[in-house]
Amino acid sequence: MTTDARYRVDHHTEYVYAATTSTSQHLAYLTPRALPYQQLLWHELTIEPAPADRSSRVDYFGNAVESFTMLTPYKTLSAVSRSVVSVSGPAPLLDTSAGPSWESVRDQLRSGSPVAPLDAIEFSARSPYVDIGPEVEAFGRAAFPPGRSLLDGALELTHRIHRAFTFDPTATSVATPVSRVLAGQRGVCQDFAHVQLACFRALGLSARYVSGYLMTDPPPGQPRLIGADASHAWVSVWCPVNGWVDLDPTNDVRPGLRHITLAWGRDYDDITPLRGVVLGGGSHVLHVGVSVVPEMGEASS
Amino acid sequence: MTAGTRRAADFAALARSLPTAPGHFDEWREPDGTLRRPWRLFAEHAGDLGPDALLHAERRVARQIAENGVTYTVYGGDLIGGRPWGLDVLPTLVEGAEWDALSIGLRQYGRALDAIARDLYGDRRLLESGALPSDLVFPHAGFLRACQGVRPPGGVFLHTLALDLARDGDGTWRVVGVRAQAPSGLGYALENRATIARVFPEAMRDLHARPLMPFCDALQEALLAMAPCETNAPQLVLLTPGRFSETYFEHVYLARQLGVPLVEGGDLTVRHDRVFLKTVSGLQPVHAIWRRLDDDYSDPLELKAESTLGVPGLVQAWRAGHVLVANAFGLSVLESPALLSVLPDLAVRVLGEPLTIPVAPTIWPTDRQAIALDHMVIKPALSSEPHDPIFGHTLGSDAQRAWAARMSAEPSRYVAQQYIPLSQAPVSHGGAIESRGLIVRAFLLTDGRGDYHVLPGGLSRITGGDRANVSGQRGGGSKDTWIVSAGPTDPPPEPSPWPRRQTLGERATPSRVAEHLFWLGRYAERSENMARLLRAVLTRVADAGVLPSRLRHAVVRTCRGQGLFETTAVRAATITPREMDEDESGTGLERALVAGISDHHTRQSLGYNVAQLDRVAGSVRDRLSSDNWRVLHRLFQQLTGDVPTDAPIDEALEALDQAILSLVAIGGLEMAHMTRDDGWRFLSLGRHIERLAFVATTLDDVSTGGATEDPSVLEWLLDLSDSLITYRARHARRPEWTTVMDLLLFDERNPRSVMFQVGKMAKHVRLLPDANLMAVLEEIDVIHAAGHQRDTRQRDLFGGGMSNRDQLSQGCQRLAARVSDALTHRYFSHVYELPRATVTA
Repeated sequence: MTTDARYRVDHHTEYVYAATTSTSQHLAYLTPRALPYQQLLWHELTIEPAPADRSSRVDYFGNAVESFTMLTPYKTLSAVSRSVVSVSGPAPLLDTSAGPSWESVRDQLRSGSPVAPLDAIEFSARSPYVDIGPEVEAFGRAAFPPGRSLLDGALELTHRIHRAFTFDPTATSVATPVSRVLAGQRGVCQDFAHVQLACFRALGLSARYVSGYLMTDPPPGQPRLIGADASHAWVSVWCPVNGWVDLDPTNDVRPGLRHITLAWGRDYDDITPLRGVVLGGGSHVLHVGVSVVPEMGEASS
Repeated sequence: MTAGTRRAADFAALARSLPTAPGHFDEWREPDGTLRRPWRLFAEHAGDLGPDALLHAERRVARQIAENGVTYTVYGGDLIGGRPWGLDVLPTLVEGAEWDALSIGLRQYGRALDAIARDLYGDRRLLESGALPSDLVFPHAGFLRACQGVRPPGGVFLHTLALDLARDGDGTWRVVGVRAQAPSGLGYALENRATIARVFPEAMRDLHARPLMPFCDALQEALLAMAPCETNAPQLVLLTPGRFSETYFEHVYLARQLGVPLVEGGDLTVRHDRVFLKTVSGLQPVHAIWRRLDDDYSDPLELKAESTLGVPGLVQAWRAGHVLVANAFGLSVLESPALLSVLPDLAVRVLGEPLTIPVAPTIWPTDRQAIALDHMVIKPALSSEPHDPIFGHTLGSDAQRAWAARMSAEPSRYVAQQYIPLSQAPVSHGGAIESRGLIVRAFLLTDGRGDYHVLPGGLSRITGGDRANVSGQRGGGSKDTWIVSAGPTDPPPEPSPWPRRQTLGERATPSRVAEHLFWLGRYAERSENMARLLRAVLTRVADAGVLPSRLRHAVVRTCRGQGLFETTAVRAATITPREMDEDESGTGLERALVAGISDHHTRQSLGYNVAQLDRVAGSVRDRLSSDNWRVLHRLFQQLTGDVPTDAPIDEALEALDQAILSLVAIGGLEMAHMTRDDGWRFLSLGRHIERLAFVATTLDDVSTGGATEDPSVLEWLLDLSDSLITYRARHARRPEWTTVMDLLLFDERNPRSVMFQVGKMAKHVRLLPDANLMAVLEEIDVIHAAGHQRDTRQRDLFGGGMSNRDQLSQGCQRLAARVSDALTHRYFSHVYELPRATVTA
């Protein structure tokens, strides 16, 4: 376990309202998941002003979700999630090229042949934020010629998305459909993840949306800036041999020691980091800041 | 031969003479053309069924539907308030024995579907085994992952269920559709019964048509019994999307029949995982919600962020077990047409016995066998992806081939359902009998012990013309449904096994309802003021031709002050107020006032105020007696439809007389029939505020206009406030300013006087819940005291140069606005805050 990396993650969210709100209710998917290759050592969500009421539960997909309610009027709401995690990285892939063909995986996932586990079947179905049209199917099929192994195709698809799309935070919003992202070939990690999910599902394959963080390096010679990082998103594709295999189309890499997993779901909508319903308040300005800082000391206990 | 048997013979002869539709089961005739037994009984007891009598009955039914405001809102239309509900005069008749057998089979569906829901959101054995195909669940937008693992209070998922039944060519009833989310139609079925019971009262009695209401009471008892509540007085509410819902009428109807508060999402709030009703006396706990809101619109926090109709946090409160929600969330997955392909097998698994009522044979997925589309209807597999059904026999061969290709390319996307040639039922159309396709929607209501009561009746829906579609969204009509017997052998509804739980004694008044009632009072009073003002002016114009100049001056001043000229109709007629002043013939004034009567699109006219009155009343219909609503709605229909802008003056006066009569009746009904609860208090305050402002303003207009010496102006002023007769009875001479002031300003025994309104306001404001309105109450008391001082008329009360009376009347105008603002601020200010969703990346 000497290769473990240990991080401290600070995720600040602040809403500033033009007028005073009367009440609001919120759901937060901000607790890193415990995984075979990721340990959650410490976590705390601090809300200011103090909520009237808060609770947590485990959702349908096994993610921790925290909820809180504000009953006292406020103009600024701040939610700070702090976590310490240790990451060992997923196991190396077996049989990348010699593994099952994508068609055989597709056939296993088909209804009426319950060979695949239900949760794999579930993630091959349509979901609200992943619209599937002929264009995205064609884009996906280019990476999956007949007979190719599932993982070769999946890595190829990751590479193709990375090559074809330009990172551009101004091009899309939370609700931009896959078809528009595909047409514009621009977007952010969340869009690329949705495009890749659409490609997989169009071909009858199963893949899920993963939200989390990525440790980035500061430019050479400069200090690490607090809040310079962002929350991140990637995908995980189901393989009968390797299980769920993570792929990061934004960076064309397989997530390893630098990726910290928060939650997974069918798409962004299932695991929005922080959502709320607010009464009153008028317009608002949102500030988000994320820092991922490597921690010194014992990596595992 | 009695009249009854002769009429029955006539009807039988008519039945034999009309054509039949081969291949379809005939609801009313045997294959040899004779009447089937229930129809023979009906013909003997229904009285005259000749063309004239049927036509007469049709008109009665149409009139009653219009007066009761029974509507079904059609999306995409611009008809506000919806289209009138279509109801045929002839009922659907089903024999008691046949229905009893059918009920046993229907209850199987209820138990089976409830068990499937419990398994799906619980152990998932059916899904794991593949008996419930995952393709019917995972891609379905109505499969709600937020509901996994929930154990609803009382253990019931499916509290109400609607099953659409159609008869095969040989008369076999088949289930063709399932409505499990928030089934609609029960209220319409009850209203249909109430209407048709008045058309054929003897037949209904003699055929022992089974009553429906006991079953709704039983549902309410079961919901109350299962509701999680520490005390013995659980609060049940009916949750509606609001007046723009297609089936709003029945929400109102059911709420009123059951005596349950009708609430919208904004009326409820969730605190500490518990649901509360926002009332004028604070938050009151809610223990059970009968919802008519689809899942998507129920909780913007967890179910669909775009919705503003729901209650944020409701799902969490339900998950925590603190509120019963009927039906449970997540049941629209049971409505998919493709479920019918596996339901018989699923039922055997969960019930251990086969369904006795067959489903419409349904093929899914569509790539396993050759499908002859000629005999099929293509429907979407999932109810979350609805499209119109496609009748195979109506497709050309190219279209059939194209559909066959689509169905084999996407085999889990569509179903092929065997075409059921609908049974043909007689309907009366302009007095003539025609045949229409029939589908009966049966209603199952939980008994709270794992089984269901079947409503002995249902909502019969008929195709429009020869179309095969019965959806309310696409036309067609409905029928009452009678379960009949030759003798009174039917079992009475079972007594409830539950210890009776009482509902709260005092009905809660949601803040939104209080605000609507407040405005109901204001618009009703304002409409009456407008109508009296218009009548007082137009009568004088009709009598005198040209008004004497001082009176004319006062009239124009007051009408303008009330905003009567500020209408687009006036501008369209190119009559500006200025021209009117100079128009010596008087026709400009007359025309502008007449034009405003029916005009309900512009501010301030009578038509506008009546339209607003109708609108706010429509939002609180469950609070009004049905008579009150009928008078009010008829007023709206007559006034806004009947008076053309160029109507002659006598016609306009007739319309105004009618309007005033209706408005007086509305006021009388409020006094005679409404419970004196908080809601009534707000309504009354609305009326007093409006009347105070009107009387004080018109007094002020005359006084500051310098017309206090003119008896014709003073008579007109008294007429405006309906006080002319009182004045004459007291004084027996032409009016003088001082005595007019006594009557209209100070006399607290005159219900039209300023001080009467102030006195009532002082009383009502003190009785409001959690009032905390000290500041405004003080102002009311100051004015009230001023009106009581004997020397008010002499002493300089307020200082300054104006007379005391003028100051008092101006003070009253300000007071009306102050009280209105104070009530709005204290009780209504959060009513219109819509929830907005926020998300972060």
